[in-house]
Amino acid sequence: MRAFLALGFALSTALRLVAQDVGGRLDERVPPEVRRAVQDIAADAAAHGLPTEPLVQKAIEGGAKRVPAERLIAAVRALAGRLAGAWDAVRAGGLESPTADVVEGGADGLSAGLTAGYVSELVRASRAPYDPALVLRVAATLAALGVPPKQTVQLVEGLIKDGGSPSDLLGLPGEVQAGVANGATPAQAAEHVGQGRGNAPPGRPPDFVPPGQSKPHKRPANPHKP
Amino acid sequence: MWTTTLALPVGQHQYAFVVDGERWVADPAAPAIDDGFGRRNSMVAVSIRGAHTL
Repeated sequence: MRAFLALGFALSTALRLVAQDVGGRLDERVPPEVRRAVQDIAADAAAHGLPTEPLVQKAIEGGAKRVPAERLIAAVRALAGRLAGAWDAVRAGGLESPTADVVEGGADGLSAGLTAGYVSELVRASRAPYDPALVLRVAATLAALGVPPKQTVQLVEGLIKDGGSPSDLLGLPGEVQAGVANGATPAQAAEHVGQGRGNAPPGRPPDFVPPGQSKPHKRPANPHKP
Repeated sequence: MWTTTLALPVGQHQYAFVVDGERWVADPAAPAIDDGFGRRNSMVAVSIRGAHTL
């Protein structure tokens, strides 16, 4: 019983510290009513193990943009909801204790139109040297570019399976954007990028060789890939 | 034309231009994402090879 009381006291102290820290950082950057509301939202998020920094940053951004208080609070609350959804999706993808970066990446993905199921799938596909946070942020950018969610996941997973480097991964949105700048739709540009990276056409095995062509030389195994 | 140079860590970043100190405008040459306030933020990816203006 004493242990539970001590744990409860420690938790309430930690949450009070979160609220104080958030309040101090928002002082004179947002109206007082926004500061109080964001303190409550952040304390609640912290109690559930969610990162609070994105909430503070969103509030500061809203303050700088002079967003009306009611709308600002709603946006921060909505972000807290996406962080909670991302937390669940990332854990469903196999990361028991996700870092703040990964949860934020998942929330970005949800914000860009990926489903929770796709977020979980991308986390499952991420293994060293691929940082799941980076994978999720790249996928979020592709989706923001207008690449359909399913195709976004296929493109990212294709690059991982093909042994592309994390830097190649980070360059994917730029490649798709270049295709769009040349007149392709986001879906067409993504398909072109995927094919250029050696992804097999849909429905064909990875080692498919068109009739009359010889099998290409195998690329050396990625030494970083487990 | 105004320019600025910023040192950013590797990763994805959101940004917008502030015109005349009050109007927030997304970069027309970059992909954009909902900022949660009914406007758009632009996105840039920074890799070890440099920035992709996406």
